[in-house]
Amino acid sequence: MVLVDLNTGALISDPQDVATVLEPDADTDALAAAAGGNAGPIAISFPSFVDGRGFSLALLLRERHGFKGEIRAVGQIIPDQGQHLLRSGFDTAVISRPEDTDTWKACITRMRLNYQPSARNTLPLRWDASRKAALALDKTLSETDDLIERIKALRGAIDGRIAFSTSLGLEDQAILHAIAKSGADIDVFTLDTGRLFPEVLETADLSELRYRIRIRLVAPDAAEVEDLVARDGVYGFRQTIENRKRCCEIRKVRPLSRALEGAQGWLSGVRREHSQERADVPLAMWESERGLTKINPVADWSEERLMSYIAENNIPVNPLHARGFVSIGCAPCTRAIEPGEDPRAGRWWWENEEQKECGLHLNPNREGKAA
Amino acid sequence: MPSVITANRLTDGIVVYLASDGEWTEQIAEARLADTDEEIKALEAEAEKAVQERLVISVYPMPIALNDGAVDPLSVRERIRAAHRTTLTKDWYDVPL
Amino acid sequence: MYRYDEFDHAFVRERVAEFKDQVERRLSGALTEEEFRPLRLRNGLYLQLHAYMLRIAIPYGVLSPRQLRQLAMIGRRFDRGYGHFTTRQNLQFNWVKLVDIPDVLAALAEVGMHCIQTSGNCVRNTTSDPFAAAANDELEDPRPWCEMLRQWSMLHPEFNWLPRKFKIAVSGAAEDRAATAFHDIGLRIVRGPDGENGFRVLVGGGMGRTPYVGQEIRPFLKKEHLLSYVESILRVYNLLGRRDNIYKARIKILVNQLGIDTFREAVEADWEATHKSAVDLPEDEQRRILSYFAPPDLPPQPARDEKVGARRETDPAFANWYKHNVLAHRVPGYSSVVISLKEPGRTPGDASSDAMDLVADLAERFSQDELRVSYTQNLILPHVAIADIPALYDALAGADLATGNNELLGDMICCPGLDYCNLANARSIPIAKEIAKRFEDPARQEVIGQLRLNMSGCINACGHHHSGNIGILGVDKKGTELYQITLGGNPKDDASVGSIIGPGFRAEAVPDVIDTIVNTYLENRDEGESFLDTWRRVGAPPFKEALYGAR
Repeated sequence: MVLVDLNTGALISDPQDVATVLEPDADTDALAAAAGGNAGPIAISFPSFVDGRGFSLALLLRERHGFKGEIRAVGQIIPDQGQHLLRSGFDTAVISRPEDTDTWKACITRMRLNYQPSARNTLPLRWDASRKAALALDKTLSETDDLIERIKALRGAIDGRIAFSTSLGLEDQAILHAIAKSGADIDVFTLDTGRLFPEVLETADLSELRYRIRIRLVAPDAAEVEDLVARDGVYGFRQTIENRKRCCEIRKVRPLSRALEGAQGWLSGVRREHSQERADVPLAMWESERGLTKINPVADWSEERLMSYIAENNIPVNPLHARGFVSIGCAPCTRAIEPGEDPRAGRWWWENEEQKECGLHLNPNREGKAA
Repeated sequence: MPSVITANRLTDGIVVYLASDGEWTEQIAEARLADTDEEIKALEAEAEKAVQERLVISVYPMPIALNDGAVDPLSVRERIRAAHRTTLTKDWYDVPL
Repeated sequence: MYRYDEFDHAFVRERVAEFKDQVERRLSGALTEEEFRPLRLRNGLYLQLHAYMLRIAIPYGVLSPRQLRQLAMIGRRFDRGYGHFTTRQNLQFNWVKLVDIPDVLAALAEVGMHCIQTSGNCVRNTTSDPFAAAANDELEDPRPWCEMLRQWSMLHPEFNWLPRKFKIAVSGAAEDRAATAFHDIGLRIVRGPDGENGFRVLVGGGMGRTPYVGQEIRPFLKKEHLLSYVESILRVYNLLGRRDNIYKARIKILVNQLGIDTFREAVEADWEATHKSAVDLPEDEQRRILSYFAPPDLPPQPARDEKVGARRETDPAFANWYKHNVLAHRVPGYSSVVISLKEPGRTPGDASSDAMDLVADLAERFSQDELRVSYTQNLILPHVAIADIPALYDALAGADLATGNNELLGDMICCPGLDYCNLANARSIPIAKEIAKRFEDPARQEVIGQLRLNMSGCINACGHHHSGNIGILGVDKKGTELYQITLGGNPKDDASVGSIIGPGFRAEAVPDVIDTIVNTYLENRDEGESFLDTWRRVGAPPFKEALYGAR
């Protein structure tokens, strides 16, 4: 069985067993029983791809029966329906012809925009209040340069959990300081890739003591890491860009996605000066892919502004910075840079400029361009 | 009754007939005739290959009459298709195309 | 009119790219014809008798001059220099190549147009009153609500694979000019008990093989709940509509099998359970869409114009055209002008690319850049100053577009029939032309008065024969085209389905048959009666007697 994730188009390697199979003529009782039984996957069967009853069934499971588990499309479906499935409430689909796998991925990732809201619809919406709210927040944030005020404003503008992914870098430390001073309730975490510099963990510890804020360490899936290393080797990421991206994917991107699940806001320390690719990141934007507002509260700060803020407030920083490290990622993939080099020149220095994103801050709203 | 195989070309939808040389022609006069059920089946098999090769769609055999050797589609529908144009009735109105 | 913003443009471009990929996959063999067919249909692409036909949506019949010019360009470049305006406010090109379709779609996207869901078992183009925001009997402009429905229905994830096609019409005036009673959902804007406007909702109307007049499912629906209520109707239909028999798959069959009361209960129960706020448009979004439809700023002018009056005195052709094709406007000194595409001898509803270019120019010169398309297959300039009428008439007359037969017998609705259509059993265009020739004399049409004559080339009833005062249905009887006549149909408020009057007639006999029916009406009518009045009073016997008595 080939199972595809309707959100990403990626294949799912270890599908769960289906708990219930619903035929297209399932009635309310059958839906209630399936939804109430357990959280195991519910499969909805399509006798023919032109029989669209299953779309309504998935919607009812989500919206009337509150089913939160996996809904899987099985039977005769075609890749061009991937979007319809996702937006009706399905998570996965069984691909009947393995040769269609690439087509499924292409179809799923191609159509981004749509006019209808629905349970699992995190894609850009025509009349998307969230997108407009993000635009408004962007404007509000741009009206002050005071970081603490910005944190207060964004906390006030967003309902629900706001997550702050910190790498304990300079920007992130400035933001952490402002969070502590503002008293805003924000969930702070760092991605513990297993390859961090000891200095990063020291900085985290120091910051926890100073600001009395718990910094969660979010770890990658152990089994995934084991498989990766077994396949590519301990430092396999040095061999090819594909290997490196897979490493980033497992150690950073997926854990990040897990940590952001359910969050309404996502704080990051991205600055426009970091690179060409980041030159026009807004202070706040709706990130439809993840269904949250991404806020970059120091996006418009210059390095000078940042350094003076840190100095003025006596903010603890990673001691590596003093040794020429600027943008700090995993230990094997980060080096110090020379004065005058691009701030991100110390990351994956053996690779081409355009490819140097780990994938955390890719902007899904703009085609093929990282933010 | 003799028959010919007709279809529409995949790329532009134009009406075509399976010709004697195995190609597809727009001219019904060049269509290959099949007189027996076996011959029709053989032509259909050939047409099915053309469907697989994505040359034509909507293939079907169609009985015709021969008037002094000229192929005459029997129905109004097939006469209109064979003419590649609208409205056959000359003394009514002729659409300029 | 509504203008695409960045989102709408990007959406349509994404859809063009998607269809381009689907065409490529078909040509490469990744998609079989069986798989490709529903996909191409959902983008308005049919395989017809002679070639592929592309159906382009003209949402609720509103066009800009720029859009019409682009259609003219597409006609010239990718087709044979003409297009066909349909009975559902669409435009069809008859000879486009599959390989050209992505380019055609890209050209449409440039001007904010598309072919999304103009075919296939999904929600089709929403149709409406072509005189919206111009007619003086209007309660409220229906177009914003049509636009909301358009956006909501675009690639609706739940309702793209319905049992059968689904058509919605909205009317906001006292007179129903959108045939709402013959739609799967018909929406009439009405004044509610508290003085606010809302929708009277009809469901299960339709033509085709089993014609039904729509039944009332809700006498009054608050406007803000339009989308959630329509969605509940569609959900019940999607789950319960028949899928085993294509001829019994429309919602009208479900409604009539369950009975309107049971059907209503199911819809209301679903609607009760709906999180309405998640489906209905937020207020600011409603306001945004409404704001596009502000009526044009027309400074009132004298209602009478001396030059126009003088011309009517001296030019009978102008006078006749003025009488029928120049309609009252809500602002004094203005009118809505119907450009008839029913000149005798021409295919009803066809327009050449040259004609489209001309009409686009005239809309800019005389009608505030606005154009409409009616389901009766004519074009309309909605806001023309009376003083401009003579100049407009002369420009139209120079291009044979000034036939003064609006709503008269010559203003026939006619499907493409067997000359183009793969489903047709009989031709309709040549019959229409022959009838037009028979009744060419404007004086005779004048005597007959308003009469709706509709003709379809098959049971699917694209030519609305069921709702014609006189309906003609082409059938195939053992290889011969035969024409069945129905009388007494009516698309308007007291909508009715015509009754078959007797055995069908051969093509050559049809003009005589229509002549006989018309003469019977004229002999029987009382002072001031329309055809429909007379029919409803005297019934079938005199017509049967006249048509079949000698047999």
